[in-house]
Amino acid sequence: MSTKRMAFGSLAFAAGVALLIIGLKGLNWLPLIAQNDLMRRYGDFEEMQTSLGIRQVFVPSYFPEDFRWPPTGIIAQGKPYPAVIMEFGRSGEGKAGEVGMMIYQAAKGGFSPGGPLELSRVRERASFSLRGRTATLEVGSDENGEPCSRISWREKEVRITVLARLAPVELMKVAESMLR
Amino acid sequence: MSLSGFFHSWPGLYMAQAFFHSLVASVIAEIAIKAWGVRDPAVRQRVFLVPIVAPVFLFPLFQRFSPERGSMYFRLGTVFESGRWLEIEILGTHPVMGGLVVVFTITSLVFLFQELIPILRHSFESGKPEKAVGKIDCLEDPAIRTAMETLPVAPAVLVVENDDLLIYSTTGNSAAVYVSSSLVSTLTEVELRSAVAHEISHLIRSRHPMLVGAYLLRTLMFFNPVVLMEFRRAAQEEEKVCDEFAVSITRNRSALVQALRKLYLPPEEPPPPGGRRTRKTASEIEERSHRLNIESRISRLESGEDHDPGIRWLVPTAVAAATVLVNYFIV
Repeated sequence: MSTKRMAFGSLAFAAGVALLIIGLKGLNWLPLIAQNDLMRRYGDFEEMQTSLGIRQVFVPSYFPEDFRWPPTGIIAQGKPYPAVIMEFGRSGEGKAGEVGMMIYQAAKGGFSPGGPLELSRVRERASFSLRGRTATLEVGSDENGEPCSRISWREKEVRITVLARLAPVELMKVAESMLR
Repeated sequence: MSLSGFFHSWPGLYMAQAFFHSLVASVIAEIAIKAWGVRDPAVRQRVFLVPIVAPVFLFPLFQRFSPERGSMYFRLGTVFESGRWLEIEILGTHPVMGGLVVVFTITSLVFLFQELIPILRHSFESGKPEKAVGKIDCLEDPAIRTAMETLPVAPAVLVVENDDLLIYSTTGNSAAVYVSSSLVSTLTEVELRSAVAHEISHLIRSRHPMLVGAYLLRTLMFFNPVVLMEFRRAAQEEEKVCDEFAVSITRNRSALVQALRKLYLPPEEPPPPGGRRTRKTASEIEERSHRLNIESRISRLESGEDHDPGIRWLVPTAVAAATVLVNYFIV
């Protein structure tokens, strides 16, 4: 095969694969039109609640410094099980836009959405009472070695998790403020 | 366990993703064949093996090295998320999920009745070949002796008393080529040599580790319709690879073409006068498909060699690489 034909073939192959990816992207988008309770990003909290009809979403009333309501990002789904993830960006100097806290609730045990914030090293784990609920507190660090804590507990039919680049004391205050 | 529960379990995730991975690999393989204009059967066969082999390993490998691939965030930003389609609900049912289960079930049954049972039966009967006149030597059939003279490999060639035109080979411990007495008297010396050379190629390649491995992996994907289709395409290419081998040792393309014509392309019967045929039976369709396959082999042989060492490994490698890369983003 001549070099010219080889190069043309490679180009045609790359173009074909690119078209395939575009086609797959299109196919991936179609179900979102047909069904509104599939996992997707929402512009704001009210839109998500209206769209999915999730009656109770637990939100904090206390926010530590650098964090504020509303969430900077919301991902939610109604099927196969209801789940809501709220991202809170840090507004501190030099940290703008960086997700520093995630609050998620899901009607499925062991739900772990992954994403921009992960507790990669757990140093301590302890159970304690959070306003009468049995909660688990984990303290450790994220992938960059920055201190990070996670607290999770069961509330009726959902499991709630608060994960943040915060000291455990601050994190507990956030969690407590979610239970009225 | 509900249908939805199954598709969220590891076996369900594996089956669904294997199906989508093989489908994507199959499209990539097709793109590659068209883009580079691949005609060499050995290269085409390697390309067709990618959609067979890849889905067996991709899902476990991806999960092993990239566990976050199953996370919500990954799925959101991915190229294609199968769960979106599987979760579509209409009147309390999951039509896509149900459809996929039906497709998997039909494919499994096809595999069982058209591949596994016949292969097992063939394996048991291999040791008990048909009543043969005997192993050929110079005294018994000069036609075959002369035909075999110039072949570099000399397998056991046995003649079966039969009025049909038959030639086939058995593998394993009793590896041999069987020809029917009718075939020996019908084909010329060079045509018979070509036909036997083709069967010798089957004997040699039956022990080819790549093909044996591919078949074993294919059995793991017994439920996958894409793998079923691609494996059959690879098997058709196998015939063309064996044609090439036969030509390489006999140095006579036209003899093999003539042998194929005599063996498999009897003149088609004209339709009955005044009778319009509106329905085709399954056997007629199968026969037509077989005829097309033989015609394709003949046209390849007549068009001459089309080996291109430049793309021998480039195309299968490109297909494999693109398959891995694209499928990483298909969950």
